[in-house]
Amino acid sequence: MTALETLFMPSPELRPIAEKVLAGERLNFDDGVTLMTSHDLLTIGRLANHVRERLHGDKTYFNQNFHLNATNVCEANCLFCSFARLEEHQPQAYTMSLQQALEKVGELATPQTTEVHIVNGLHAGLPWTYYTDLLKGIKALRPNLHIKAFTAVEIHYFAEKFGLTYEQVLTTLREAGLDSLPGGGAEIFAERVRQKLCDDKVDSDGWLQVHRQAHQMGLKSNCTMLYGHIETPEERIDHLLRLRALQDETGGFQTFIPLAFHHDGNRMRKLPEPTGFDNLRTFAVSRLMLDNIPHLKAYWIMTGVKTAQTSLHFGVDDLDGTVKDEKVYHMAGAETPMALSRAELVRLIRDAGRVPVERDTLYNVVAVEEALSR
Amino acid sequence: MPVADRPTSLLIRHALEQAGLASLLEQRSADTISRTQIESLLRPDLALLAARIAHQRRLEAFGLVTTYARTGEGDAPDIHRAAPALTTWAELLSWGRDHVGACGPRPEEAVRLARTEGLNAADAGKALKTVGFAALAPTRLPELADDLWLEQMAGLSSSGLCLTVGLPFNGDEPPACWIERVQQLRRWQAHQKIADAMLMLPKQLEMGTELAAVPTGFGILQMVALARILVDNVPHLSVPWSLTGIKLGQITLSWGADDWVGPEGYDPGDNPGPVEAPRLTELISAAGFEPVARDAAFHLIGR
Repeated sequence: MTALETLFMPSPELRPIAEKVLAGERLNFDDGVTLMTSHDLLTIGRLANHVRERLHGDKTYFNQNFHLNATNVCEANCLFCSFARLEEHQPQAYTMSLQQALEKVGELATPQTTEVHIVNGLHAGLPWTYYTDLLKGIKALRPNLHIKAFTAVEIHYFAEKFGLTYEQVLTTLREAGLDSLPGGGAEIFAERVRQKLCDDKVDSDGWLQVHRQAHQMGLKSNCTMLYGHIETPEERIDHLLRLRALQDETGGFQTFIPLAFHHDGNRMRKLPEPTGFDNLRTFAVSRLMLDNIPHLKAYWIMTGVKTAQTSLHFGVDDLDGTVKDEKVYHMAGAETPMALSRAELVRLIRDAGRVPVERDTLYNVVAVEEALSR
Repeated sequence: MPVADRPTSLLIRHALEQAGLASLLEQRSADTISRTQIESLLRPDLALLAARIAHQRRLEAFGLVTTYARTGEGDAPDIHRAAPALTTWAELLSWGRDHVGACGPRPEEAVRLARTEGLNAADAGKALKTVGFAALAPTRLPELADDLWLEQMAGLSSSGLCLTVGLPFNGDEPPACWIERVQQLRRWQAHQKIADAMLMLPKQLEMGTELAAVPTGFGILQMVALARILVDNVPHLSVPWSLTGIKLGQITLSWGADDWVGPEGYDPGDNPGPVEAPRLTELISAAGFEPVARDAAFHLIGR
């Protein structure tokens, strides 16, 4: 062992993993658990950064997008959710009419906006046409706006409620204007956790099957993991490996987004939220384990802007976007801004020594900003 | 495969040599750090290397011990609640007698009151120490520190009072200016002890503040690492998590900081609200360090 190695990679248990990473070898379950329980944040960060730069150099992606949450009325009773209301008449419950939803789109979409991200509650009273007409209406209003809509949880719900297969649901939605799927609703795949937190919505196999179906139809999608609550390090790694296995099969995931648990306004408020240290470690380990998913995104709304910016040196290559009008996590106590301007995103990326690249949802380049000269 | 040829060794050596930082590892005094090395330490692409060097310096000094100042709990003096606004030297001494071990006013205020009695800084320091003060509230490193400031600090410090120098920094200030100031602090400290601790003070967003003046999270981490590496003769590097947010504050512990100011305060980060001592110790432990409460003079008072 050289002195340099001792200094810069002080944890003996990480050295064989480092050798694998630098040789481009795939990490296994045990490697993942070792990383996820290590306190050697700087070594894990350097390894993740190595992979990130091998894939993307200094490029850091962002887009100009907004969120549309047309209803928060939801049949599912997830313990960690602060957004949903079980019934229409409850305080803060809302459901937009189609006209209201389209007016919202008209209000939030600027000429530079490339994406609308739509996630809703599982509303028992809305007809199938509500969703298809919503997509058609948006396309009529803004034909070039990419519609990334409906989590796998919603797709599964539509299939059950309207007596359709996943393929039929996705085909109809695509014909109405759906362009890709967001990655929400994955939570933690481990059945133990899912039973405790959200046993009345799609199970892990169903979530994965929805995305498998979408990928087979040529639709791209994202994937997520809600971490920092009751799950164990082993369950986090299990989650990542299930995603990696599906990606080996289909190649349809574009981006993995670790979602930090927020506790305000829900029934898990006694649990502490994940720390800044845990956020960075989780980002870095995700980058190292998911060797086949191209992008890793820091959703700044959940981690905070400072941690998200720092994560650009811990494996992350995407800062999401301007994210106007996000509601799901702000109702869970997120105190991050309701939106970031394009200029602020560019400043954050440049200040971290990266090159800001504005993208569309499918990672086509919209504009490249110059790096900050120092 | 020989150890020296293994990918990890090659990667590390290549990065260090390319950045001109390999020799920095052997340098035991910060006064020989070259301008080129400082420029490398500021490069964002080398930020994790700089952090590792800073972290190593901190481990050499304190191991995994991370101190935090407990506040307002009677047994532990309060670094934020310095002696209340006192208008006379006599009032100040009287307050000190009633709050033995407590943190006094800022040095400039203590000296101003002492002057009304014809005392110089050294005599004022002795008097403050005698009545029971252990430390003074942090003072900011002036942009243009003059001999008078230096004389005041040295005089107060000579009495054994614990002094903390705040290092303010802006997001839009050229790093060279800030570096010059902290290197000046190091030179003074080498000549005559003036401080026991440095306190990182990132500019906060206030009414009328340009956003660019507020350091970003990454910018704060870079400055923490630089302060640790460049000023190797002031023992403690303290981060007030109330200014960085608790999440970034926890991360600074891996970038060279060894002390947290708290716990009573208000986290301006993602989850605003007071953070109590048990949560602070949890956060320090979760980052792999050993939390130890300290008093105002950085004496360890409880694990």
